[in-house]
Amino acid sequence: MNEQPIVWRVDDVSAEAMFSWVEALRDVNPIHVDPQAASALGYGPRTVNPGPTNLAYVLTMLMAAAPGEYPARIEARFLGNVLSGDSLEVTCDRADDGIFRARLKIAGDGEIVLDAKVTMEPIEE
Amino acid sequence: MGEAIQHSAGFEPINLPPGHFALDADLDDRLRRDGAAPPREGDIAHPIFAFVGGIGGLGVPVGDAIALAGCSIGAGPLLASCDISIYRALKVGVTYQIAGRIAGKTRKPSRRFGAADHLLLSVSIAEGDVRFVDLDLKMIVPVTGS
Repeated sequence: MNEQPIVWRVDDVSAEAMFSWVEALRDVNPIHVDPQAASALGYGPRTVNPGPTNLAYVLTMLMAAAPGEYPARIEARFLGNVLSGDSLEVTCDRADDGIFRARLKIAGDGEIVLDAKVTMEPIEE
Repeated sequence: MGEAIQHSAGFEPINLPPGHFALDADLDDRLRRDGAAPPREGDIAHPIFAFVGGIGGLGVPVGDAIALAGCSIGAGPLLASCDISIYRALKVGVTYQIAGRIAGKTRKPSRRFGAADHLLLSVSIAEGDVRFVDLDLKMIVPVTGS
């Protein structure tokens, strides 16, 4: 690795914001918007953040870490759930080959919920 | 990481109807706000639209696509992984064409759910003849009653 890891935080994931995401995705999965449905399906009493929202946090951080660049390849594994009210930490570092390795963790217990390899390249329009 | 998504043997891929996604500035603004991202500069959209546009613009809502594969979105499917190639930056103010198919379905035992179907969905985003994005994703759909 050629640089120190970069750390970025997201505080208090909003249950209301999940409505915007599921609307854009046309996703009616009840675990994102209905706490009772989430609970009935074993996720506990809080709604589950959509996976693409978690990926968006990571991409936002990488866009800040690499100004003028845009993702060209994203390989992501969704390893756990982010629930409304969670606070998160994104860490990333860039290897000598230019590829970023990023992880999204639950702040506090450190559980990794998303692991991604992202190739950033100069923006081509 | 880097593991290619394998198409399942014994499952006939299902082509979904073509769709489109209007990537307007208001939507980019809203998802940036609701995704803790800074405001847009210029007309380059947040790269998460490589995912959101591909799924939101399918010719049928993703729940219907899952149903076409014999699964239920009411079971609470989870995203397992995705592999996205972006060839050009997506822009606001553009309506993109979306093509998608259910590429595979495999039933596997699940410690959490008893059994779950692993669905593979392949999506492309284009404007006219120009390809912008290829998106492959795997989702896990609990088999209800298992």
